[in-house]
Amino acid sequence: MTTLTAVGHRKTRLRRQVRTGLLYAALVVVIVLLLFPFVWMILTSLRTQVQNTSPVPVWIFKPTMGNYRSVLEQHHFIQYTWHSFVVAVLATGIGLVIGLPAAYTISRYKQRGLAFAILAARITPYITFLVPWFAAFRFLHMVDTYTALVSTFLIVSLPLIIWLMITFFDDVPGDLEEAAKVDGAGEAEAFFRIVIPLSAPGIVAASILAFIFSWNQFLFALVLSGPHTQTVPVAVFNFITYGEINYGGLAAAAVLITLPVVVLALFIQRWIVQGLTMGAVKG
Amino acid sequence: MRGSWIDRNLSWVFPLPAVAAVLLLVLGPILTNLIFSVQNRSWGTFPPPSFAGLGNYVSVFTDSRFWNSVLNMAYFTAIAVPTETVLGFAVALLLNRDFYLKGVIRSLVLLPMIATPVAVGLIWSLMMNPELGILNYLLQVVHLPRSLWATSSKLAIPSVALVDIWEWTPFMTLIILAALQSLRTDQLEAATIDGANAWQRLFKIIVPVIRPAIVIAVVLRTIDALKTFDIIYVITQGGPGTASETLNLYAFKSSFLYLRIGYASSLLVVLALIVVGVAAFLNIWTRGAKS
Amino acid sequence: MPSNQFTEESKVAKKIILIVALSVLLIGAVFANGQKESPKSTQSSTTSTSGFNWQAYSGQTIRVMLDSHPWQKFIQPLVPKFEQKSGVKVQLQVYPEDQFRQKLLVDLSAGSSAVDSFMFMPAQDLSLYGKNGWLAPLGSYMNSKSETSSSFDYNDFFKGVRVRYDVGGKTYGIPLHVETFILFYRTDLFKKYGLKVPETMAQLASVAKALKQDLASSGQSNVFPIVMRGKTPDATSSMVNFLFSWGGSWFNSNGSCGLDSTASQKALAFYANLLRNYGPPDATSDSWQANTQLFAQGQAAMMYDSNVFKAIVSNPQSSKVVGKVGYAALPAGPDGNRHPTVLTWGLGINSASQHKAAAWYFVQWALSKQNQLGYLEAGGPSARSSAWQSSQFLNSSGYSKPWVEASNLQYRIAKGDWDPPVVNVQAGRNAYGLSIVSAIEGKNVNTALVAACTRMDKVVKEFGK
Repeated sequence: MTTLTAVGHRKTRLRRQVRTGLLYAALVVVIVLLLFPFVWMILTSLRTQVQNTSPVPVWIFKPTMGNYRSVLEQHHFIQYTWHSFVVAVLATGIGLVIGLPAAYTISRYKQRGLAFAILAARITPYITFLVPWFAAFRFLHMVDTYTALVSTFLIVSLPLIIWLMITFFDDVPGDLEEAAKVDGAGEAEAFFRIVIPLSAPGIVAASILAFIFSWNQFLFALVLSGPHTQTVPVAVFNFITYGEINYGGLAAAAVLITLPVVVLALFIQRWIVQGLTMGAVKG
Repeated sequence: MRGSWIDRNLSWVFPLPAVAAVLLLVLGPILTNLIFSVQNRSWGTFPPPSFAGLGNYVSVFTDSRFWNSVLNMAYFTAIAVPTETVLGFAVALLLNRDFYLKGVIRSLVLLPMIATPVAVGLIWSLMMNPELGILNYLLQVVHLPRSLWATSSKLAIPSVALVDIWEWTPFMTLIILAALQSLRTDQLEAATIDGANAWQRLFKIIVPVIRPAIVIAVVLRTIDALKTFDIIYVITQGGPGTASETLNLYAFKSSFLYLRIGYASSLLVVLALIVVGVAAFLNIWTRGAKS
Repeated sequence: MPSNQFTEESKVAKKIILIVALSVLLIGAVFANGQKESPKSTQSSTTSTSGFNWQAYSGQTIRVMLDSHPWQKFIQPLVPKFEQKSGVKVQLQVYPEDQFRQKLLVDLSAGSSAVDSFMFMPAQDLSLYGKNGWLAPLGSYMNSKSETSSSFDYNDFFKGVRVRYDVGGKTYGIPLHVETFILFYRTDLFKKYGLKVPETMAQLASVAKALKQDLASSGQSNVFPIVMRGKTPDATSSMVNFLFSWGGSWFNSNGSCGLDSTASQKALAFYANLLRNYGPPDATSDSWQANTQLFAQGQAAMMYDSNVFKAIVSNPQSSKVVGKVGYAALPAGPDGNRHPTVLTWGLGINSASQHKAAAWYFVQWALSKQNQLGYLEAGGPSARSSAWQSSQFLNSSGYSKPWVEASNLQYRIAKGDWDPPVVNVQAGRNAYGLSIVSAIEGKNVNTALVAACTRMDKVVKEFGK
């Protein structure tokens, strides 16, 4: 009896260990697949052109900072980064000013119509907005201005902010505002003094999410930006020259572009899913 | 203090800026597209704008390049979304347990969908370069034939879809994972008590419960897949020829390369109708599934 | 009741929000009007009477948009010399060709004053840009002794080339080079396999076939017998020479689309078969950027493309086949004659520019005799006759007799429009280019060309010729 059970236990334990081992192996595979392009991007940025164009990948090499130096020095990159930063901050800031109050009333007063209209902005392909916008800005001689870029980037930031904040405001129990009103505060005061501070984590998350997606925006910047306002996603094309694609420079630029948003995302990872599914799924 | 004018009218004062923004940013452009679509116009002063009636729409529906672009859009979405869903589900199952470094792994899983698509697309196009790319080298190492990747007409869309799958499977994973983790213990207990095996447990009990989350994820992803522009533009520009040209890209080229604004606007109207139509259809079709 | 977690997080978050809000306001206030540069005051009128002065517009900044191209690569390192000489700051914007064309088109059609000077090809752009009034006429600058250096010598530019920039008696650009498509070949491989330089199209095909066998049998099957453009719309530039060689044309004498003629079908079939059988498998994605790299890395035995790319293949920094490259003229068509075309890139000035005069100073410096000679020595086919004839060039290491002869032969006999003679050239090139891609992929040539004509008819209908 005891011998049988002992063997039986050993077998199940072994099976479990094998299963766990396989699962860990699968996990490793998934992580490798997800991260490989990033790793490759970083490796490429640290190699020379000769190493990057070798038919056999060069795994062991002495890393060089030359690519990063050339990106930062020669190609106005810092200027473009500044443009991206300014536009993203403005689009986020204005998105907050416009979006927070609207999200509040949508949440409290169940304004489905407005919510639906915002949804339309999220669904419609950006190119649909771009052509009329270009026509308008062209007419007003406002192409290549921050005003033009920020206005169009609002199409990206506003729906994100509003929909995420609706779910956050939904979570703030209405009795706090009631209590404030009993004390003599008006609706608006209740909003500013009570609801906003309580939803602060959500506001931070919404802001960062909006910032990230503004930073990543390509199509609007491609057409509406010019030398005064060019953003980094567009600037990265400067590294594709004829004959030789400057692999190292391209990779270095890609790293520098992606780094800020990756860092920011790690701060708000809890809320990313919530933000991208417009609150339908809580992360 | 109490009952000031703002407070009494809060319900429309607060949303006012947003409504104005929507009118200006969303409605205005849509109307403009409709107007432009019945005209022949270009960006400069030449040729001068003229009325074209429904001529552009007739052109659109008799344009084989238009149908090709719609097909490409559908093909891309049909490859990307189901694959992302299935893979996302599998990875979510994998991550749905306590293990060492769980928080770190969850953070890493985010990265593909947060990284700037243009940068990601360029890196992938480097990796997929038929002569110098690392992917062909790896294929060679495991004795598989080298591929033309995105430079081949047949593989252009699948190659770009591959990049999209890499980028957005994490999205599906995180959603499904969240749903899995919110499973109530009684549901989980019901699953184990019956003595059913793992597969039965999975499909008969767990999936139906998390179905709403999956549905939302699929609907959102489908709409976003139809909207994809950045990675296609950066990797293939719609090529070779028009092999990977989606309606998005065709409209872009029509307006900014061929300067046919009237025609481009009619393409955009059709595109918007398609996307909205798909969104509405999916919404209605899955209405019952969303609790 | 709010949980403790709520209040704790919200305290921190409150601080963050405050900081962000303040920053937003600060930045917004500073940048509310964008970063528009106020146009600096233009030249003081005193200099105009005292003759030409390089420093007349010192202090201004101009923006020049360039295509990523051998000429750009040549001139870019020299630009600081111009900045020193004139005191004018130059901001260069360089893009790969596809993006360059789109970006320039967008900027010009936006009426933006952001671009002062730019590269353009008259065959592609003069009609469209001219009709839209985007190009500034250069006559007033060129004829003014105070705005143009006496050493500029406009007549030094080849006449046949410089007149391509004229419309209605006004000049809208200055050529920076004159190109023609020639046959590049590997002298070492031809010698090794005992091959003769093809003089006719038929010989071209048989040489390619022979190369394929020879390369395979000597274990070099990763070297392509020939590389040519397949990518749309770039392929039209090389295909058109074959079109003309078979007697085809863009339009028939009665004005209708000529691309579906029998001659055109034969030409396309030849080009597509040659590329499909003896070229790289991803030919439909290849333009000159990929092909010159292939050839320079030793992976192609022949290349048919612009003679300007001698700058790449004979440059030790970018080429592994220096000293092994031969140059020959386009083989003769079935009628026994060669039918090359000639192309030219030039510099133009944006009519909406606020710094036209300063931009003109850049143009005349960039295309000066000295710089054009330097370009020629680097392998670029200069547009100035003085450069080609100078003893400095003849004695330089950049001199190659076969290249000069092939180029000059083609310059003499070239005729015809290498771009469709329509206003909307991009759309016209695309109309033809898509059929080239189809044919290379092995689809029916006739069907592809009929479709090309359908597209071309639309282009003509909407924008005219």
